[in-house]
Amino acid sequence: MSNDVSTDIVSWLRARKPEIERIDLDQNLLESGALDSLQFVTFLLFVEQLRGESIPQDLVVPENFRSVNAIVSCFFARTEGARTSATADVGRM
Amino acid sequence: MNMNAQQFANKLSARSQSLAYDVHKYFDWPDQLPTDAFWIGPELTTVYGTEYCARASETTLKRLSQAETVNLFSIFAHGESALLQTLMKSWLRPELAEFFRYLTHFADEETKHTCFFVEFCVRYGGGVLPSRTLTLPSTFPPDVERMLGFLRILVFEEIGDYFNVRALDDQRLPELVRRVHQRHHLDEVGHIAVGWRIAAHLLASLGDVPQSTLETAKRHIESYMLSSVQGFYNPDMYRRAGFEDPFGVHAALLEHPARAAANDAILTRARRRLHALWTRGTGEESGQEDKGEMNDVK
Repeated sequence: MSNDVSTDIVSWLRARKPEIERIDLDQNLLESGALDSLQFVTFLLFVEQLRGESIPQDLVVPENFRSVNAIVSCFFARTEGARTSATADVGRM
Repeated sequence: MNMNAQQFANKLSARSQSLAYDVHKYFDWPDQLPTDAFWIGPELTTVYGTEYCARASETTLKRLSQAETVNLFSIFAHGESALLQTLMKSWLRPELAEFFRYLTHFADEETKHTCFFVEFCVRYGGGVLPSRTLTLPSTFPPDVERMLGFLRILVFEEIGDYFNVRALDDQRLPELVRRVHQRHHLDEVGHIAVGWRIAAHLLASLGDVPQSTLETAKRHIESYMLSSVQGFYNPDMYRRAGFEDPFGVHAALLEHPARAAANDAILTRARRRLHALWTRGTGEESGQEDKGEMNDVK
């Protein structure tokens, strides 16, 4: 499943940034510009769709989206590795 | 900075003082809002003009309009919060000195907006919906980023006011919802008017910025506008309204030509004013359309 997810994520990113010829699985997506803040909402929804459930807001931190492997590890491999933020929304605390 | 800008800011400050209100007393919050009513007009929902709208029952469309009102107000609440942070990072800078007094009204009014949007979401939507945004460090020089920060504020407010002016007198909506839009609009008129003045001033104050950086900044704002509008398309709301395959609905709507046209309509005024800013150095338009609201505060 993880390989399929990785392929889907890379395909999504490349479709939106065709000028980026190659995306390695460990490449830093945020520093390389393959993923930027303006496309992030749509990207997050795409990851949620692949995952089949929403991603809690505390897990939406740069560290968890730094690379394709990090995304897969945090949100698809059911590991304990996901970093969290300390914030929560009013009414949901 | 000339006296006209100073006088303009003073006039807006006087307007804000005359329109000041206690946000904790301003609204009468009913225990419940009617669930058999639209909370935004169906033509403002994100499925309007598509087969999803045509196939949906009126009950489903009403549920979607209610869910998307909570989504809209949640986005506004998160946006106001980001706006305040941007504003307060810059408002003591000397180039904004003439605007400072009005900017304190601006911040006060935006804080009040946050109060009533949060109150609404907590009372009628189960809480403020989580933000899906991720803020990353800017890649622009500080003065360009400062200008872009104000432009993002402006675009956000222009988009918000698109909904305000269409909802504030819509008799299909509950009175409270209309009143929220009326109050928001009343304040936003001033914010938008002064915002374009500030943006023009910051653009004129830029140092020796390469043309390529300016072009990248223009593309950034265009992308920001599109991503802001796309934020209204929330699969969680399709699920709340009872649509099957909410992620599929979301993906289809983002590619739907009717929705692309609707998105363009939301962004028309902001794009016109941005064009005026980039080409003539002012966000004030030379044509007749939409001049009424700007003139309200002149």
